[in-house]
Amino acid sequence: MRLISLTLLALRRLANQRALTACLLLGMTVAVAIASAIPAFVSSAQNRVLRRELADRAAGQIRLSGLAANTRLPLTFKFSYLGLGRALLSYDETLDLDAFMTVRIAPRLELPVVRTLRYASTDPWAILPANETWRRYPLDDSQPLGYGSLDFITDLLGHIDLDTGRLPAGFPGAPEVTDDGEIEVMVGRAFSTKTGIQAGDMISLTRKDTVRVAVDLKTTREVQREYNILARVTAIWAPKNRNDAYWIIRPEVLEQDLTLSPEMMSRRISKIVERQFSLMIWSYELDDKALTVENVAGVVDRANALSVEAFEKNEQLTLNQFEMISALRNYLKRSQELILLMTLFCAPIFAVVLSFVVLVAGMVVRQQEGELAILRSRGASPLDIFYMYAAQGALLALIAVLIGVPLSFGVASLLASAITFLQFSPQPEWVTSLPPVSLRLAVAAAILGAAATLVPALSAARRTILGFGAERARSAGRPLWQRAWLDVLLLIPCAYATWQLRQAGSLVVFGTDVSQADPFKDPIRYLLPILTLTAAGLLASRFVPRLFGLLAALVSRIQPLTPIFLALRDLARSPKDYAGALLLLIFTLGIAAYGASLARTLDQHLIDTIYLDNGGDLRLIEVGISNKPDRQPGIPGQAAADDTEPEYLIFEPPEGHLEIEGIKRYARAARIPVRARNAGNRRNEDKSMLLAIDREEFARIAARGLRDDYSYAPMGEIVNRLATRPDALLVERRFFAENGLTIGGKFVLDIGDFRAAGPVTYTVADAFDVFPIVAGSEADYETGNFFVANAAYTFERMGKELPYDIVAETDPAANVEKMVQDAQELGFIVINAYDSRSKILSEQQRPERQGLFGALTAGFLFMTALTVLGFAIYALLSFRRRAIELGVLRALGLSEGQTSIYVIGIQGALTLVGALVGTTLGVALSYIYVPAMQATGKLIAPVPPFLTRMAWDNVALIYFALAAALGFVIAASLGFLRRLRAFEAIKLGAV
Amino acid sequence: MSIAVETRAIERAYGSVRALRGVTLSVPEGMWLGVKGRSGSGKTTLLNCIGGIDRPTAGTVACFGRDIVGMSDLELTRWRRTEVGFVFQAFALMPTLSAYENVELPMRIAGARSRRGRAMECLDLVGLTKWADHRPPEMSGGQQQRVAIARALANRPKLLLADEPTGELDTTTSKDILALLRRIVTAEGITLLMSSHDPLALSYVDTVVEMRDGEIVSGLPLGPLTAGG
Repeated sequence: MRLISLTLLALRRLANQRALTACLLLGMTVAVAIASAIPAFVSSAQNRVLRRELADRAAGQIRLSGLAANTRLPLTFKFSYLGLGRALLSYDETLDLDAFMTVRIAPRLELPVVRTLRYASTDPWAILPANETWRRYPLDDSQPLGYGSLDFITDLLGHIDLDTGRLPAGFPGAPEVTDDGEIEVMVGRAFSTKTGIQAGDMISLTRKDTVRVAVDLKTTREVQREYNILARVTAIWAPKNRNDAYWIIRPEVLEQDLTLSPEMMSRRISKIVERQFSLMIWSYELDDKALTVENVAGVVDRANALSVEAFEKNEQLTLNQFEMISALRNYLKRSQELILLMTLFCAPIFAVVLSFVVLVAGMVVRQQEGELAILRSRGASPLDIFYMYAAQGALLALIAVLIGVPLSFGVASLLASAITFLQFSPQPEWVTSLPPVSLRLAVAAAILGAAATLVPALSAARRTILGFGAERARSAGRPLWQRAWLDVLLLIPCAYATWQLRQAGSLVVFGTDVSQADPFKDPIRYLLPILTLTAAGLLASRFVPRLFGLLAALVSRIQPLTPIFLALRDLARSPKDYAGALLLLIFTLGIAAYGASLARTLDQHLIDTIYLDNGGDLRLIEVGISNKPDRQPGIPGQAAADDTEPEYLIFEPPEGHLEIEGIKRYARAARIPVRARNAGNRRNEDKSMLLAIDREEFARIAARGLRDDYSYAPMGEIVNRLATRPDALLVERRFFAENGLTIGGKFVLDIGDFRAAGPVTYTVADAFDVFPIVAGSEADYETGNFFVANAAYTFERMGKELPYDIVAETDPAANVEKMVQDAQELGFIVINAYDSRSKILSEQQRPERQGLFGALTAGFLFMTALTVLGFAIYALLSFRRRAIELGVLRALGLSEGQTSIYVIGIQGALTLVGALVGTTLGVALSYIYVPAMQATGKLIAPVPPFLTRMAWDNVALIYFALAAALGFVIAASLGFLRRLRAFEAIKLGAV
Repeated sequence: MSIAVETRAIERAYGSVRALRGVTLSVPEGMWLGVKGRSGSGKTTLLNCIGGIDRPTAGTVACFGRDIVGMSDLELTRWRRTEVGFVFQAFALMPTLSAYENVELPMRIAGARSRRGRAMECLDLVGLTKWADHRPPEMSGGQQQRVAIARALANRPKLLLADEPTGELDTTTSKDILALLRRIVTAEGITLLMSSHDPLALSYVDTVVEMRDGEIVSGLPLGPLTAGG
């Protein structure tokens, strides 16, 4: 009875305190929606990676096999027995294998089987004419017409057409197989065309086997046995659709064989030769729609297990490791990388969602502290209050789940539609199902939200009205974590881990496979930026009240600023009141600024990498025509043995490239193998590379690929050093230092083919660390050195032009294929073309990348939304709490305008300081941790390194959102203020 | 003797509830007038209308010859800063400010330049100099009410309005507070209007009027009363 009355009271409180209930419900619903959406989004991203992997592999297989592009390759487990030589099977043995497959393998496939196919064929028979009818063809009697296996495949009739004749005996609709009737077969159209065999013809099949027979009890010897079969060809068949997924053996192969019914095989052929079956295939086509992210690992594991079991049954029985299974394995590897990245970026979102729920719940309960104290004073026990809040929380949690979970479909769909950071595909990717973990997290978030109200409620329930007053007196006291110095304690391991990270240079330890990196094994390492932000945010918030106090002291003597002074002093004196909102602001601004900058850095790094590799918008790999027309184009300098004139290449004048529509400017860039001479003028045997360029145009074209951190000075200046003299040479800084070179010093490179290498003397003009084309991300940094020189000088000294690439700046709208075609029509021999824009687009469309950017977008949007929402709730509740205080101030003579400034001052100062501290920490995190996010397991530094780019425009978005929220809050507060009657507020009770 | 407060047929209605029904009252300067009556009789509303934190629906209120009903909100606010001091039943002190800062607050709002001396003088008057740096929740109810009185006196108002100032205090503390108010009225010549239903409190006042259902039902509402009488 008591419980019922408490429940009713709880419900009445919810109904009466509509604003607080709405705030708490909103907070819990948002938390549930986000918690539920993130796993759904991650699953969707993984699913896209899976589908893309399968599609790519299928496309590759289709290309290799020459199938039509629209062919569907199903997910199939194909077991085959390949018995060559002495491993031929008897018919009984095929039955045994068949039973094994049926009993042991087929029922244990991980996914539903949509089609099972069996194929069996014998060793080839020689096919000879059986009667005079063959004389109509001019064939040599001594040679067979061909060789063909006797075979059968299940479910054939639905996939072939008969050109002529009728089906062989044993097939549906054909005569039955008898023990003494003719053996009937059919052949494919291609075989018929090749040999002239027609329906109705008799053929003679012959095969010779070597068998070992016993001569006496001790000795054996090999004898040859010859088998002959007379068979009638009853039909000529052709496949209905050569690209049908049915063909587990290409129809072109089957057409060369003699196909008969399984019954004919068992009753007639199997009795003629004891061991003759050389190939059997069992194909299980699986329902690939049932393949999900969750069961991929199971499918691969099952494939491995069944493969082992089949091998144990018979060593010749294997599961073909074909493309689809291989694709699944590759997917699992890539999926691990994706999970690593997703975990990195989604974990903080959960952390913020969690703190958001706790914050909102805390704020709501804080509003009710006075009421709780009265309840306690009127005889309610702490248990009663606990029960009331538990009942309220359970009801709100239920509503939050009911609203939040359906909402999460929309949220997950939005994230899944992200193509890059904060950019969404116009064709949304709808998420239509939630993984089980989504629901678990949704319920957990709701329970957490409900539980979050219990702790402060219980704490408040310990106090009567007098205790409540005393507690208010301590509101200026520091929060627990500050008193316990938790912020400093947390910062110490973070600082140490950061130091370690800076030493290592990368998140992934050298020598380890990135895909094997498990964030769960070393969470501190992966969550280091977030932990550092947490510690630094807590530490910073310790000083914020002091900052407000300082500012209050500064404005205290300026009379017109009295409301501002009052606001600042209030903030300086009551840090507990706004600690939650301030921390939320700091954390979310910090994480959002960091996440946005990471996304910007990744985006720009992709562009940098591709432009570093290609040098410009387009790089055409061209070759010249040999002066010896009978030889293939190639590297010149190879002296012909029978000719004293050396070979060289003739190039079309490069100016012709400007005639190609879409090319704005071009430069030659010759990649020339060289060997550098060391200090003693001895040739260094390390292979090196000289890039000979048209300096002026190259500098313009490669501007996007010339980052200023590629050398000690801006790269534009470095490249311009080539203009100081024709023989100017740019050298790698490492090489420059190791060899004690000096600017202006001479340096010799042996160029070209080394049997007839030409030494060319250069003058060292400057040094670089990274240079487009030669020192791009794909360059092998561990061998060789790179040099850059003027193409004109180099070619002049060599006495001939060497093969060069054309690096071009192109119109963004230009079609690359058309440009290549135009180049070829102009006489240029283009053997390859690298289009930077296409490559960037292709990379941006990779599902992993989209998944990562979706996660970053999720982080950014959620944090912004939660910050704005949390702040708005805080501000409005805070205003409600201050109503009495405002009434007193109005009674004491603060005008309505001054009171408004006071309210705006409190909210504005808090927002501004929180946003500034958060952004500052976000910027610091970006510069400290983003370079280390370049996960690599290689010993060498990644090229080009991550160059942190601050996404100020995105950060500005948060500021706009906050400003909008602040505007809303202020407008609401002022509206409330206008209606505020000082005498009513004062009558409400104690301040 | 000049009139400190004069109301003419003031009415105040909150929707259909008529809190004041044509109250007419004249209070000479330097008088301590007690307003008694049951809860809901209109005592607080009358004080609020006289203090300018509520506006009558009808009638006039003149304080020291100035009609405050016709003032704009800003004029009324400025008038309140210097002319009137409030003492509330629940003290209404700012919890984050010390006793000294609470007393200094109205002077700061009014733009007074030398505040410290006056604030300490007021605290000394109420006997709380040693408690200047303490915050309200660290003080007893009586001490808090003394701070509230000191705050009300800070801008040297000519009129003090006290709404049930001993409502939350025990008898001993109430006596202390009432004695203090008596001293202030006598020493400073301040006019004090105090609402209360406590006979002890009303025993300290110069004269008493009784209110019932928004009307003055006894006392001397029309003629000028003699201070100290």
